[in-house]
Amino acid sequence: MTGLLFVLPMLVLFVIFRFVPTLGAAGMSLTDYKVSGEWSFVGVDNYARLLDDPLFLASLRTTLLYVAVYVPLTMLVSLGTALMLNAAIYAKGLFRGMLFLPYVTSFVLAGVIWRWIYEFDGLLNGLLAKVDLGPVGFLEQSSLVLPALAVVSVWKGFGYSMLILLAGLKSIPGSYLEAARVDGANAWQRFRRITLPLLRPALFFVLIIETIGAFQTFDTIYVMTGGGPARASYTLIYGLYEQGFKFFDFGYAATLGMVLFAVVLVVSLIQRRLLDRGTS
Amino acid sequence: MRKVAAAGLAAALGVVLAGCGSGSDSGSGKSTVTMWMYPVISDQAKSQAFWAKVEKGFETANPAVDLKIDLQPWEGRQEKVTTALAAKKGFDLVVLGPDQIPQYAQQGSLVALDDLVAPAKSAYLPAALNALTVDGKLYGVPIYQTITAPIYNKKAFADAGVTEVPGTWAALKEAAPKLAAKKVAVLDYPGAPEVSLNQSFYPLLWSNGGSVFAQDGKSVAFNGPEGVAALQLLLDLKAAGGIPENAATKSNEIEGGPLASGKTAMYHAATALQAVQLGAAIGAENVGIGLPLEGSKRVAFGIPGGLVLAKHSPQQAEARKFAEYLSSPEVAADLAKESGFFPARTDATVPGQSPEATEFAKSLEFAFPGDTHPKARQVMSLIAPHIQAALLGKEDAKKALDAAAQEANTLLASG
Repeated sequence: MTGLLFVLPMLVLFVIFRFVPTLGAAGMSLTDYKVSGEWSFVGVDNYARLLDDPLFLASLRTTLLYVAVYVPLTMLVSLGTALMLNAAIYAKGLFRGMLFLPYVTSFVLAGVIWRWIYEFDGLLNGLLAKVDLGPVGFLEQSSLVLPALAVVSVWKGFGYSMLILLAGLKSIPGSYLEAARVDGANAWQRFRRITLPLLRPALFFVLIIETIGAFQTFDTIYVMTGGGPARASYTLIYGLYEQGFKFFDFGYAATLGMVLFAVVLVVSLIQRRLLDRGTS
Repeated sequence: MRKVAAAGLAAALGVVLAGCGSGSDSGSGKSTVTMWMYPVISDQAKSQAFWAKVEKGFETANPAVDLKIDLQPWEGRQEKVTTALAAKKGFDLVVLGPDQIPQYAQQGSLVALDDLVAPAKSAYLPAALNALTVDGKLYGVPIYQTITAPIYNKKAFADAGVTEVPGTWAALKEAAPKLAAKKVAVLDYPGAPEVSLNQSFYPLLWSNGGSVFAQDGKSVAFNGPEGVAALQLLLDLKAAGGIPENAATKSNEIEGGPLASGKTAMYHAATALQAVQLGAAIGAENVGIGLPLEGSKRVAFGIPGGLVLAKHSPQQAEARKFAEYLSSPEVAADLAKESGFFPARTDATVPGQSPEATEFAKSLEFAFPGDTHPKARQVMSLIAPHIQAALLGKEDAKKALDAAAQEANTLLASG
């Protein structure tokens, strides 16, 4: 009972600002909703339209591709930095603070700065020119734009996952590693056989959070490419934005939102399954 | 030190409290009119000073009205206005372009303002009034008129041995290889999705006699032979090194862009402000300002700023009074002077017009507000990715525009 009281404020906020709007969007996806507030019920018309919409199918593919690039990359970077911080002896707090810094900067600002970095006359191409390479159109080539965007999102977001993994690493008793060392296990074996299995809960939490986040990436794309070039970074959520706030087709935008919701739900459930199997 | 800080804090709180007090004017019988204004005057300090002056001037003449001028950024304008109109709050008056007005007028969110301009109708530029009229009703009072024209880096042309800056498509094509030999792209074409096609592809389409929509507005026409030729012009230029390598994704910002650094030589749809910015970068004496590029005719994108009145506004009479004030010849001339735009009425004389403005004013007679269609902006965002694809060599001109037309026609058919 007391426990319920403690979670009550959060529960109320969640219901008001998450649950009710989600239900609202689900309802809206069954309507033709005009910006003036007039609407008419159209049943599953919007869902039927999805199947004939080449843009939707392309955006779904782009989204999955982006997730496939982003998630492994961010897992590697946040795990790598967490391990390094865990092993650091001097100025741990300073490095932790520095690595976490991008997480608290604004997405829009990060996008603008990275655009300068990626530009033809930008920092990265300047460095490449020093070794007689390039210029590379990071945001100009369809094949490079998703990885380029993923790098920005990783840079911007890995700090949070890093902290969670760091906390996970801290909770691994030093005696286990000590015992393994005494038994003659080398660094790789200690990492593979002791650290990694014990870090699993934290890793899976990060994996799920990052996957959901990847499906919802919008700011970077909006600021850096506007879905381009030639729709190479036109993700589901960018399409949703365009339908809703450029075309004012709120019903269809809500439908896209529902699809995104379903995709994220399914992916999360699969991941949870794997997590349960992994810990039991 | 601490005492000073405390005193400062108290003073700040005092200001905040006083601010709260003046906000509740409804109690004292004053009615509040809110207008959303945009950085029409791009210099922030000048903009604030000008609008503060307007506010004071109007309130002095109309003591019963508390006027609030809310200075908004251009970014996210469409989204914010849409949301405000849907929520029926935010502003009484807002400045909109002709391509934005039809959709809101169709939704019934705006009030017709014909009677407001009626007394001085003949003084307004006919093109400005036409552009703000939907189904025979005027929904926006024109308070300024913009115009775009080509700007040139004269030195870049001279250095490449081109003595006369290109004013036609043919001359543009001819100049491209000569400048390319000097590693300069002749045309600074901005293909980034955030750049309005009104300042990139459409002027080429129009100057070739094409139009975005068919006459009845029920389908699109940009994929006709005129449009294909316009896109082909860009592709031909690209093949000749006549547009920047990253044209598909570059913006049209002058400051820090290739035009300012001498890597490109002209921009065909620049604003007067951009001419000034270019002058700051390469020296004003090197900047040339021409008439709109001639294909089969000359067309310059130029729009009136239309002050529209929201139907939900509870202060209709007061808001109209302010619209009258803002569109009066005196205030309109002041606004034109500060903004570098042009008055939308011929009886307003702008004091001390800059040399750049005088040159741009010559293009006013070719002003075209773009294809005003309720779905103009939506169609734009469908065309832009395909032009990118063509510029990236993924689609040829015909295929790119046909694909965009197919998407656009589906959009138009959906009602």
